[in-house]
Amino acid sequence: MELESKHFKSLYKEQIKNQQLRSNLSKATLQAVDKRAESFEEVDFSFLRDEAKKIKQESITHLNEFLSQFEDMAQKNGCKIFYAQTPEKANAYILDAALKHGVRTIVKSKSMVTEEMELVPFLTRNGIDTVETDLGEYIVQLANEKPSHITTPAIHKSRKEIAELFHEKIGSDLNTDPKFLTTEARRVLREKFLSADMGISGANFLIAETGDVVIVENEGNARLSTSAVKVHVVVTGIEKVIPQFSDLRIFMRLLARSSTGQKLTSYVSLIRGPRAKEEKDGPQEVHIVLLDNGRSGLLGTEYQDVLHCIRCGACLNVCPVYRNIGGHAYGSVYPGPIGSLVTPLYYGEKNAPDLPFASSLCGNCTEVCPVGIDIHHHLLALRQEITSSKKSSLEKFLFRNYRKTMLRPGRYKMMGKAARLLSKTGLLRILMKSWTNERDLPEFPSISFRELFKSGRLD
Amino acid sequence: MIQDDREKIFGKIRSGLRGYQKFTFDRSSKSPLKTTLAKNFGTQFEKFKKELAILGGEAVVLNGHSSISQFLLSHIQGSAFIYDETESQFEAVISKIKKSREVKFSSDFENNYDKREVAIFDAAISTCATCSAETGTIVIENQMRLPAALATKLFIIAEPGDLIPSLDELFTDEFRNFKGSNLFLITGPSRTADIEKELVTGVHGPKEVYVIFFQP
Amino acid sequence: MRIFLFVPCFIDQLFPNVAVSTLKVLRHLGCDVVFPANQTCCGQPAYNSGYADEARLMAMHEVNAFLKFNSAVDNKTIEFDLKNDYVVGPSGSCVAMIRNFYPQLLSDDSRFNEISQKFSSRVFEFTEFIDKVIGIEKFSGKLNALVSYHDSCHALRELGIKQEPRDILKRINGLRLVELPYNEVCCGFGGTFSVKFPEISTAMANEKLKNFEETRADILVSSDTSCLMHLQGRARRSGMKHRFAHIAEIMAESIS
Repeated sequence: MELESKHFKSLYKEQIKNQQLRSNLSKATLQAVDKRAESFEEVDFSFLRDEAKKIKQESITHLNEFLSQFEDMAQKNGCKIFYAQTPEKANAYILDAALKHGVRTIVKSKSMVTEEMELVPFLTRNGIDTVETDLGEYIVQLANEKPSHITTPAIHKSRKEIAELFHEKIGSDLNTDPKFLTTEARRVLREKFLSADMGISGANFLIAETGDVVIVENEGNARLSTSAVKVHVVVTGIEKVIPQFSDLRIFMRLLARSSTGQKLTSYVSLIRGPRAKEEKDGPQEVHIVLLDNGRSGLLGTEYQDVLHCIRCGACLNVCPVYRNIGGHAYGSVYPGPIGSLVTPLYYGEKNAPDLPFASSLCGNCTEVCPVGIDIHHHLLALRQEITSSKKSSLEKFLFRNYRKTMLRPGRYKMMGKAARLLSKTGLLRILMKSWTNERDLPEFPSISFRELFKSGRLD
Repeated sequence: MIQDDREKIFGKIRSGLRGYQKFTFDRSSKSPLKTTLAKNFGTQFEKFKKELAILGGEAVVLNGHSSISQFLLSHIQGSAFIYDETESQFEAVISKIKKSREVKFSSDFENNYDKREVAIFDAAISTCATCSAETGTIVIENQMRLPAALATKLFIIAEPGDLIPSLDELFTDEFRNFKGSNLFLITGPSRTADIEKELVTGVHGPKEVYVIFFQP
Repeated sequence: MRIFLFVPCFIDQLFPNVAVSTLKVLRHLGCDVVFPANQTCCGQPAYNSGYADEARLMAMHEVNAFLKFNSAVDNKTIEFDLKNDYVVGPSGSCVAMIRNFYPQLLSDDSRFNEISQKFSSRVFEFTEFIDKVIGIEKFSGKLNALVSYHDSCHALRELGIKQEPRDILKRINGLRLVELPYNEVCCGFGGTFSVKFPEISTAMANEKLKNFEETRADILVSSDTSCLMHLQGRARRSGMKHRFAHIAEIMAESIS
C-alpha cells in the first residue's frame, strides 16, 4: 500500500502557503495549549502520567492475556467479537453485518481506526448511507476531505468556509455564527439518528476485567449512535485494552484535560453489552471489531510504547510544526508528532521517509504526552533506521567528511578558516541556499576563539 | 460467514512479546487530586455546583417538594419525560408537574418503542446513581437511554447521599457492578468547539442541565 | 575550581565573543579555566540527523580531547580529574548531547562505556553551573537594558533549565526582563531541520519574533547561540534591528 505521506515534502510546501489555514490552526491550537495547562492545576500531572504509563505497560506486555480476558467478558455480556488483521477484512465484516440487518442508514461517531480503514467511503460505495455525526467529522465529510486533527477534525476550516459549505450542501442560510451552523448540523443529523438502523463508534478504552467499551465524547452523538440503533458496531485497535475498571480513575482525568483542557468530557458511556431483557431501548446486537493493521508489529520493539497512545491530540496542539503546516500535510490518518511515529511504524518507513525528520526535536510533544511516550527520542531513533537503510546519498557523504574533519583538529581549524574566508566572497551564501533564502548568515569573524585563546590575548 | 483473524493476531502478539519482559503494575491508591474535599455535604455540594456552573449547568439545594416542583415548572416550557424511578421517589413533586404539563413516563413506552416518540420532549426528569463533585458529573445507571439523550433540558433530582467527592469513589467495586447494559456519565450540557474552537452547547444532547438536591 | 571550557564548534568559529564572554565571567567568578585545544564538534548535527555511527566517532574524539591535552599556554599535559574538574559550555544543546546522549551512544564500547558515564556527569551548561556549583549569589552586575529571554528547547527539556538564567539576569542591576509570550515554544532552528524544512523553520522563527516584538524589549537573550543565529538571521532579513545576545555576553558586559 502506498500512502500520500510519501510526498510529505511537496504536501507541506503547499499547505504552508495557506495563510488562512495557518491562522485558523494557530488560534485553535494555542487556545488548546493554554486550556490544557490550566486544567491540570487541580491534579498531579506527573503522578497521573506515571500511573497511566505503567497501566499501559502492563496492558501491552500482557496484551494476549488482557485481550482474551476482554473477549471472554464481552462475549459473556452478549457482544460479538471479530478480529481483523487488515482494514479490508474489518470493512467486509461490517458490510456483511449491515446487509444482514437490511441497514440503509448508518450513523457514525468519531473513530480514527475507521479512518485507517476508509470505512465510510467503503460503505457508501456499497450503497449504505453512512453519516459522520461528530460536528467536525460531518463538516469534513460534507467537504469531501479528511480530518486534519485527531480530536478536532475540521480545525483547518474557518467559520466562513463552513458557512459556505453548509449553504452549498444542506441549503443553510449564509450565516457564519458557529451557533447557527451547529443548529443546522443538529437539524440534519437528528433526522439521521431517528432513521438509522446501525451505529458505528470507536472506543477509547476496552476494560479486560469487565468487558466494557468506554466511549468519551462531548456532543452526545456517540451516545445516540450507540443507543438509537438496532445494531451497534464498535471498531477499535487491539491495543486499546486496559486491565481494570478502576484504571479509569487515572485515564478519565488525563484524556479530556490533554485533549481539550476539560476536566471531563460531557459524556462518557461505558457499554457492557446489548440491551438487557428488561431494558426498553439500546441496540439488540453489539459487535466489537478489533483491528491489528500493523500494531502487533511494534510489540517487542523499542517503539512498543507508541501503542500506549490514547489519541488525545495534545502532541499535535503543542507542536509548532503541526501548527504551521496542518494535518493534511502529513498525508496520513495520524498527523503531528505521534503521526510521524505511527505512520512509518504501522505502514513502513518507505511510506514516510521524511516524517521522522520533520521535527525540530523540541520535545514539547514528549512533555505533554499523558501516557509518557518518548515521542521525540523515538523520532530520533527512526532517523537512524532510515539513514542506515540507505546505501549512499550526498548527505551521507557530507556527514562522513564532516566527521573526518572533526576527528582532526588541524583540519577542523583549516576548514573553519576557509569557511570564514569564503563568507567574504558571497559564495557561501549561494552554497547555503536553504538557509539564506529566508535568513541572513551571521557576520563571520576574522578569527576563531581557539586562535584568540592561543594568541594569549585573553589572559 | 467471514472467518476472523483471531489466531493469526494472537500468534503475532505472542511472537512479538516472546522474551520481552512482562510488566506487572502494583497500583497505588493515592489520589491524583492535590487537595481532597471535606466529607460534608455542604462543601461537596459547593464544589459540584461550581464545576457544573463552569460548564453552563446549574445545581441547587431545595428543601420541600413544592419548591422542587416550582423550580421544574419555571424551567419547563413544553412536555416532559419522567423516568419511573423519579415518580416513585418524588411522587408529590411529579403529581404537581402532571397537573400543568404534558408528561410521559417510561412505563408508557413498550419495548421497541418508536424513537420518534421520545424525540419531542422539552425536558427529561430523572434520578441518578450518583454525582461526583470533582467534575460536576452525574452518573446514570440502568435507564431508558434515548429520552435523556434527546431532550432539550435534563433535570436530575438527587439526594444528598447521592453525592460523592471525586472520581476516585466512582471507579470502584460498587460501580463496577452496575446494573444494566451501560453506565452513563454526564458532565454538563452537550457541547462542541469544532468550529474555530468556539463553544456551542446543545449539539445533539441536552442544552441545559439542572441538578436538584432534595434536602428534607 | 578548575573548569575545562567546552566551546561548541560553531561558537568557536562564528561567535568567538560568546566564548570569550563565558571565559571572562567564569574567571571573574574565581574559576581556573583551561581550554582543551583538541576539541572540535560534539557530534550533535550528525546524531540528530540520524548518523549515529559518525556521531559516535566524534563523541570518542571529544571525550579524549577533554580527558588529556597539552596546554596551549605552556605545553604542559593537563589531565581531567573526574572527581574534581568540571566541563562548562555556553550551549544547552551541545551540553545535552554530551550529558544525555554520550552515555547511550558509547554504552556498547568497552573503552568508553564507563568513562563516558563519569565524564558526562561532570558536564554543565553555563547558567546551571553558575547556579548549582558556583552559587548564584557570587554574581552581580550592572547594565541598563530591557531584555527578553528565549529558552532553548534542549536547555529547557533535555536539561531542565528554566529558572537559572532568569535568576542570573535578575542579579544585573538596571536590567529589566520581560517574558516572551509562549516562551516554551521552539524557535524553529532544530539543527539540520532548519535547512531540510526551511519554510517551516522560518515560519516558526516568525512566530517567535512576533512574540519578541510584543515584549518591546531591545535584546533577545538566550543561553543557546544556535537559536539566536537562526532568529537573528530571520530578523535581519525582515528588517528588524534588535540585538540578539548570548547570556554570557550580557553578563560579561554587566561586570566590565
